[in-house]
Amino acid sequence: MQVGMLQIFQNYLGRGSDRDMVAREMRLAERAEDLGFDKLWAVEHHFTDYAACPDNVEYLAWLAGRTSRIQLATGAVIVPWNSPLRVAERLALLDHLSGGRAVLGLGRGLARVEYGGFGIDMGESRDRFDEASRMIIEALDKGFIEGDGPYYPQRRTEIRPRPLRGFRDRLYCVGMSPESVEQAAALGGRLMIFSQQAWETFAEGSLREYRASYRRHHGADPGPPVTGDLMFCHADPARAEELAMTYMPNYFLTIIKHYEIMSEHFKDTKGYAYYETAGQLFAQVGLETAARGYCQVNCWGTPEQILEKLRRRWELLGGFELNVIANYGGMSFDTARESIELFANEVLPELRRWEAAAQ
Amino acid sequence: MRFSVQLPTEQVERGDELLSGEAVAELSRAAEACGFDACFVTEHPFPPDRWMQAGGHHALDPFVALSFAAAATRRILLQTHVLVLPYRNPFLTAKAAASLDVLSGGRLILGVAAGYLKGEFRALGVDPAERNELCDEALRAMKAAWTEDGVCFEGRHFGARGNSMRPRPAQRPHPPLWIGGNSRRAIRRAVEHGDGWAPFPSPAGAAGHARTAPIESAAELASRIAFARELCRAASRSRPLEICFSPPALTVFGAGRYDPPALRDEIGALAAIGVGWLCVGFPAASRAAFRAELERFAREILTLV
Repeated sequence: MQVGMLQIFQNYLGRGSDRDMVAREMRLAERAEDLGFDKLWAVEHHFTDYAACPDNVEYLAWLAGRTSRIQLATGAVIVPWNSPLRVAERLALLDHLSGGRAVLGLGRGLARVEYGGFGIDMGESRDRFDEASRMIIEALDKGFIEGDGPYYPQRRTEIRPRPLRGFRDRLYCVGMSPESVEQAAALGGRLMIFSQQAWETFAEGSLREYRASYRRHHGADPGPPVTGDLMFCHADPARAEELAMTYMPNYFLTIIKHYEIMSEHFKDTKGYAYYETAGQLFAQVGLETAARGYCQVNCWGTPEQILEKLRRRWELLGGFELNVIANYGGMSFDTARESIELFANEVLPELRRWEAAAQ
Repeated sequence: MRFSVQLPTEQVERGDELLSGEAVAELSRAAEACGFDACFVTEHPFPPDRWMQAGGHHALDPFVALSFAAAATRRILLQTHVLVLPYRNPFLTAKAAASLDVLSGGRLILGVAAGYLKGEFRALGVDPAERNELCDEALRAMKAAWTEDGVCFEGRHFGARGNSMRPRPAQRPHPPLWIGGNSRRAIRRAVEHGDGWAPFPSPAGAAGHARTAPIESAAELASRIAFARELCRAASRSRPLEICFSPPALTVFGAGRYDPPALRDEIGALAAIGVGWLCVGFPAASRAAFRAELERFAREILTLV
């Protein structure tokens, strides 16, 4: 089983300094390779306390210089906010800098405030993603980029330094809504989600849809999905629960606020109907209940409890790749560090031995 | 099965009886004469009072204590069980270890671990939250110092840019490194970077305090050893991994009392699951009492297993 660490660059409620926030993510990232993680993922987010890593490729280039084995994954490049030519160039260069360790995760973007900062119409995101993501992947395959538009007309232009190799076998797409699940399948990317739904629901719903669509498009089975979890690990079960139930709901509420999940705007935004439904559901059950449900599907407990939860998920999904977020929701740096060290001590070595049975 | 016995140097109130150069010399010689394969010491340079009141203990500096034992003996091996690597700059540790290995004629076994006692870390100016990281780093730094010239190594809190260490240890490439710690990652560290794994029997209550995984039963130990074997296979590791354990009755959790036939059976069971070394300790208020324990153990156990 592959296990990665995902970094989200959150300055929780703006309480600390951005300087400390970035320094902490850097410290954790430097540790990830020794701890035994296969991949280090970094988000792309702009403008707010919620998450501030405006250029994950730049960040991964720094980490490339500090590491030698860990893979460096964009979780994700938000295609509509970027130029496909520049994305292809930067990924090609990152691959050179890291000796071939770059991994490409692509996403569509969900926050109105972020679209607003760029002055891009959120209703265009699906079409922009469709157009640009294909251009990027083909450019990294062929060594030149071209496109007919309408969003990114591009005369044939070389990608230099030449890409070391293509990214089709190291491509992930965030798929939280039915639209983006379909986009992931069509593009041939591995499905990447953030743990929010009950696992049975995910297995019967999005995952099944994704696999069926992937087979239709490509005539082969996809690789395992990657699930992004908040993680909290503590040797004492009572402390594990107490702290998980503090920091995970904290983070959940920042999601609700940043993406304006409860607002009306999704109703009128092309391509985001799914999120209107999510907002309505949360309004019905109440955010406290929603937060509790959210916590239940994420990765917390003593090492043995976490292994048990993941073992059940492994059986349900038929294998998956795991991505853990260690630092979130206002926890102190020492708390995050102890949690990830214990996870790496007791959970990670066991997870990496798990092998998926043939599906 | 090979046996390592703890030198009784933790009872710091005993004065000259147990805590003198003469005592260390006499008792390490006695252990050698009785057929013990090694003698060992622990490490607690500056423990917090709170921990002492909860049943903790002091210890001599391990390199000093083992040097006195080395000077008095010829064959018995000299083991740290365990050295807390993050307490010291790793190049200083490498120097002390190489020096002792050379002067003892190649008899050092370095049992090492990340440590756990936060109050002690702080007193020594080391951030306990970094202990795992510093332990990993120390293993790499020490190996570089023992085997390379012109070492270039950027650590968290130090940097070597073209430094060399002489003399090399007597044992090549270096004294055996036995990684302590009960966690799966400690096992992995041992498989990837060490020569042995030295877990400690930890009843669950003590384990939480020592911030390590509980190993309460032979079954749990067997399952961890099986995990170690799998990791060895997966890593294509051909050289053997020593497993060093302690029968609970003869550790700080036991009272030092044992029933010889039962202990012989227990040792047989441990050998069967792959344990190759056992660390034992005897409570004793005097040299004579300690020597009597050594002789009894040799008679009832060593010669019969």
